[in-house]
Amino acid sequence: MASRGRDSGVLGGVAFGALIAVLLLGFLVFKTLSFDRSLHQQRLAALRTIDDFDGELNRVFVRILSTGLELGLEEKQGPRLDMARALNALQEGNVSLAGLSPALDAAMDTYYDTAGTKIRIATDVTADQKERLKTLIELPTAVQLANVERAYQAWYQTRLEEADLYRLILIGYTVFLLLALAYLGYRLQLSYSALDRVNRELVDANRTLESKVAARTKELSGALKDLKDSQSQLIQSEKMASLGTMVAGVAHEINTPLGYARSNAEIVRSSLGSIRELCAAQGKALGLLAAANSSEQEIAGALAEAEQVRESVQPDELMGDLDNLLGDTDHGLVQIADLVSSLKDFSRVDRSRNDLFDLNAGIDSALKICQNQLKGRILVEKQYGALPEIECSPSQINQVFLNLINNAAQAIAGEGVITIATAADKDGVMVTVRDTGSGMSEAVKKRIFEPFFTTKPVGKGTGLGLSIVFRIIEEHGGRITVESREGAGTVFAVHLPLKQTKAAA
Amino acid sequence: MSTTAKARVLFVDDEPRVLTSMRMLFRGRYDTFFAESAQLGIEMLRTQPVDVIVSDQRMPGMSGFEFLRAARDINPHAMRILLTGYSDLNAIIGSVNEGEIFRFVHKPWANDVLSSTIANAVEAARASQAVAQQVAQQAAESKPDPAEVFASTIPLTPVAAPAAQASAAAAPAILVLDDDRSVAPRIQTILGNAFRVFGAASLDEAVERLERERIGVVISDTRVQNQPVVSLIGALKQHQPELVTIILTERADAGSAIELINQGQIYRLITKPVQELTCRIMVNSAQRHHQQLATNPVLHQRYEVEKVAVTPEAPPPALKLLDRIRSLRSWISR
Repeated sequence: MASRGRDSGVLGGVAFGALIAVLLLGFLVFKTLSFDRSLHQQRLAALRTIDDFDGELNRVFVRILSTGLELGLEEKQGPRLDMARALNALQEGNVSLAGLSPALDAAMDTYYDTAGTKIRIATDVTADQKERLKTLIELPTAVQLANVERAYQAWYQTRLEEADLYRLILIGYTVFLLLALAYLGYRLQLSYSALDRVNRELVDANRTLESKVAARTKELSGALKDLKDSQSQLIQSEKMASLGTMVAGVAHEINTPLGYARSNAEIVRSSLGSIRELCAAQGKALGLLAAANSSEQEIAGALAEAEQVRESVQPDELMGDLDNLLGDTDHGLVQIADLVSSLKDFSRVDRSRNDLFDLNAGIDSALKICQNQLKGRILVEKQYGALPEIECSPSQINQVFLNLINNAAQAIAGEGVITIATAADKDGVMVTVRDTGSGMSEAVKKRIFEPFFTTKPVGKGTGLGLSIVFRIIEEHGGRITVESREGAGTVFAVHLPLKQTKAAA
Repeated sequence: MSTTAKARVLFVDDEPRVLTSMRMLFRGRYDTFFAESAQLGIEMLRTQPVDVIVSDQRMPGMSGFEFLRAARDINPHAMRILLTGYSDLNAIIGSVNEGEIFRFVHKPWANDVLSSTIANAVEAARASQAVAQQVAQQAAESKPDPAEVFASTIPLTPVAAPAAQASAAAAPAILVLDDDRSVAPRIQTILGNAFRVFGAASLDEAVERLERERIGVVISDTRVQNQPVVSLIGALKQHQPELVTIILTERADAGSAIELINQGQIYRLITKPVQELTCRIMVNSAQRHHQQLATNPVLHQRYEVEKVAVTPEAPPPALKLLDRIRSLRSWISR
């Protein structure tokens, strides 16, 4: 703004200066030219004319005087009238000398008096007024006219000198103006060349700007691609991490029944030896009993031996135990099979994306997977309603429930209850997962679905679990809401529609 | 020192079928006790002590390692075995440092491995009990002996060792085994004049140093010059059982920790970077432990290691080292 003000001030100053210069120039030119030579000649001519008329009048009077004859009216009047007219013209006409300078005026006044007197007298003077005629002739009009002319010339001279002076000033002024103009021209030239230079630079800059922008864009799009890559990597590693935790839990769940099943099988196998021994001893005794040629002693010995073996083996108890062990083994193997089946159910890789799925079964399989985290300290209350099968991607929906149940379990420190309720409504199904855990504050609740937002300590959670859940539900056209009270617990409510709209893959 | 009474073994696991299986397996061999939770186990230990405790790691409520740590206070003589199928690294390092675990056994277990491990544990338990009895007897019969202090808090808690044998005129010596040669000077700075710290950057150097100096405590990384130290530590422990090892490493993983306990009976496992206070505490504790072991050779059985099977893949240098280590004993007079 300041520069604009400065610019307009400069502009105003320059305009004003130019105006003054022009006015001065005009004034000087005017002064130089107002000097009108032709007028001067006319005036001189007028003076001559008057002089002539005066001379003529004088001749008339001389003639009258010398001849003593009365002249005709025209002869007397003629020059008198001419002179009077010429005098008038000199006084008032366009060749007037009146008012040019005080000296001239004085001279003219004197002359006009005399000339006026002369003309008057000339009017009525007759031939016999010889004295009058003499006086008339001797009136010093010529001299006075010459004075007038001299005065006029003097005035004219000063005027001439004045005009010369002005001309000189004008020349000087013109030179000055030309110099100023030259200077301005020079300055203009400089600024033009500066402007040119700047213009060239601007064009260059513009050109390079285009290429810089292109390079920057390439950088940025490269960076964006990297970011997208690392985002998908992070999501993948979050999946891996949660998968890792889940797998560890499942591994433990499998290891335990595997442990005792294997151990039991070995125990049974090693016990078979004792049983074989017993059978052999008993068989031997029976064989001897059945044989015809066995002695009593032999039989007694064999029987005693068999009895001894029986005592040490304790077959009834042993059989009972082995039976138990095999029963346990069977139970363990069934548990493992169950778990594997749950895993398969959970992953649902053998099913299509838009499949009809019973949510109650899905929640059950998720619960089985999480069992390890819940066992012993968390009670799970299931309030299942009768649900229609809905269209969804079963593996993704199972993932959602696994996440919600895990979160609920982690929110509960120590013992608590997780309540899972399902119900059908007119446009889909509603599932609520309620826990008696620590709850969240309003501030946390607002951000809970934000990617990378977590309340877990650094390194413990990626903060992506619920954002993935949110995305899955969104993609299914469903809704998820959360209510929570700090210290009391949290409820997640998920609504899923019955049918999926055919979206672009 | 065997007694006619059967050894007493406590099994703790939250899965009752596991306990049933254990009952069948060890019926007749030991007096067996069973608890379905850590809490019940603790209550049982309060009423009657046992010789060996076998516990699962992953249980609801108190975990296995927490339980064994508590058990150490209630029943210090008992040998502690942890069944682990789920390698929770923090728990394992914790159990090494705080629980003084005798052995880790992987789940699912093989019956023969479990049997032999428990058998070893029983022997070791018997050994330390015998010593305790002996010391108690001496205290009752004769003038109070400084060693009597030993009785109630057998080797697990740091205790003022008998002044007589273990004190050397010079400051006790420590060996630091690490590829990074700056670790030894740093530890020397931390410990000040209380210890003499020697550095070694290879297994050869280490054995050399052990030949020349009487070392009580070894601080080592898990691998030196890309070779695992577990075989060296194991061999050292077999032939010089009074040696106490602390593992100081950047990379702690459950597998190597378990190996080091089972084969090296390491005393502590700490992660780099080494904290001043932690270092001082651990080294002092290790030194005391060493002195206890030095004065009571019979204790060595408590800290017996699994015999290292020299597999064909074991690099030849290790074999040579083993030879040198065997000869170490003759060099060092006690």
